Amino acid sequence: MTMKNGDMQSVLDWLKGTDLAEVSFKEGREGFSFSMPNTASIPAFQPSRYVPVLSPAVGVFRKGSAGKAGAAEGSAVAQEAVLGMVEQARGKAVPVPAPRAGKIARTFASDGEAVEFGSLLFFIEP
Amino acid sequence: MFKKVLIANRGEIALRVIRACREMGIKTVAVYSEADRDSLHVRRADEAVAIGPAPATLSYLNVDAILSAAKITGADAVHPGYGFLSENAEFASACAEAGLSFIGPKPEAIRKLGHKSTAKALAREAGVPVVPGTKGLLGDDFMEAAHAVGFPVMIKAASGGGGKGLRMVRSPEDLASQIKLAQTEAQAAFKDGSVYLEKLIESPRHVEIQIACDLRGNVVAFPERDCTLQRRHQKLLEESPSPAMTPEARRRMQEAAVNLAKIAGYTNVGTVEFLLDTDGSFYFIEVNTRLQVEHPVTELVSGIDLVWTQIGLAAGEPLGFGQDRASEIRSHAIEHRINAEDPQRGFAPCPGLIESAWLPAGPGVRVETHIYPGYTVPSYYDSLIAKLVVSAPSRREAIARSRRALGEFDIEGIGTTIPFHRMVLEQDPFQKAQFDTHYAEKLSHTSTEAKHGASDPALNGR
Repeated sequence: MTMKNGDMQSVLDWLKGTDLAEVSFKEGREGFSFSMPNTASIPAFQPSRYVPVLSPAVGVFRKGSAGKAGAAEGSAVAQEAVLGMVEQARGKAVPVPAPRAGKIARTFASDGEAVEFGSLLFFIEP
Repeated sequence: MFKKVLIANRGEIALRVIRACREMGIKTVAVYSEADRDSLHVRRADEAVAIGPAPATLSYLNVDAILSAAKITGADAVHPGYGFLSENAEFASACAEAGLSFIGPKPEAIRKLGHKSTAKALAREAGVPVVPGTKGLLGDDFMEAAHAVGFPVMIKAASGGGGKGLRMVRSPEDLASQIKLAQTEAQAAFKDGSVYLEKLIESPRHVEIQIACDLRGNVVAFPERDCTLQRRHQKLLEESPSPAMTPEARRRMQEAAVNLAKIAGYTNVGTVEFLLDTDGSFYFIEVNTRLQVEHPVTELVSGIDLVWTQIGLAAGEPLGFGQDRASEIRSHAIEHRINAEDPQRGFAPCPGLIESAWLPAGPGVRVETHIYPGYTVPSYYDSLIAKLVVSAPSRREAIARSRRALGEFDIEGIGTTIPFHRMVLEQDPFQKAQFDTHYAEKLSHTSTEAKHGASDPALNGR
């Protein structure tokens, strides 16, 4: 996984707009945990309900075809549904499959945005 | 000149190219795999792009990922470094098709010189001596052919590689049976039983010539690098000038390299490798169509920055100097390749956490490395972690300087080849420059045996 400060900021901004007390995410040896103020009594590093969807390739992200509404926030997706494509050089396109069935809780990359391998694209709420 | 160069490589060579670009006022893009997030080349570049998982086939060898990284960052040129895609003609073509300048020779030149058989044919055409052997494949007249080449001979598989179908024959009475064995072995390994003969060079030195060629047909050849100290065809130590060369042989070798470059229409920098026989004759082996690991040796001898030169040549600039300048020998230089390998355990790779690292410095010492205390050497890539390059007015002084610098060089946490290099410098054959390409193999056995004697705990983990 690769995250940049900008990614962290967008998670944080999103967190402020929710009723969640904290968000933690862990993959391998790495992860992060955010807690909102006045919730310090709640232990940190509780596993998040949200499943991250990371970019499988470097390239330009294109919003996908899952459901008629596209892979928009709030839309329900089946496991393995294609949430978008990463367009690479020489016309190659790498699909972004949903790792779990659920609802798209948050999108992080807009259509046409450059993404790296491991960039955070979505949170899915199973 | 280029505005932004993407470096399609990792480790010390990526860092070397980033430094040259920064000095030239060119922006840089590093690419990295998941295993290299903490590498220094990622930190030193202006931008860094994650291109894939740890295995090289999915990252540093993934052409689509690298071209995509160039596209999203707006790079206008790609430097391939060495290894990975550096001698891949298809990659060079793909860069051109994507509108990127490939910092290296043209794809046609990589293709022509990249295959040993076509390169050899070109060398013959250029009048460059090749190892004497049979012209084509062996037929029924093999005995006459062998006598024409002269014993001892090597039997080699036409589709060969990796030592399969390779046999040495010292006397004519063994020839027929050995050819039969080699043919059977080659048939099994390559589905092609055809073999040919080559004269065996019994005690060769490995000597190579750095060339630089601009787009207008100007070609210069630098003084040779001697890479005789190698183990299993992996170079361990390189020096320049070669202690085994005469000025006359040097001039002839440089001329041969220039002729080959001209006939191949070669551009950018490259290296022509030769075997040097004990009688002073030399034979073409192959061309490396890229920057070499050991290029700093030539930089210290000539005082010319080869990476600056290389980038300038790729941008279409003329060579700013001629053969007289390239021929200048301003010092003696030695490079020690420091690998994450344990010389006491058969040079087994030792990836892992570097707990501490003290790098040598001071007069005439240059260290090229991407490691630092707290860095973890990944297990996915080659084991080169640092190059120590020293220069001094003479070979004797350069050896003294190497000894001093290696004494200052301490890496804790993983095994390295530093103790091996310290040991090499103390050997009489090395000091007297009386050794061939088989010497390091013998020495490495000595260092493995040393472990079974009184082992020095101070050397463990170094």
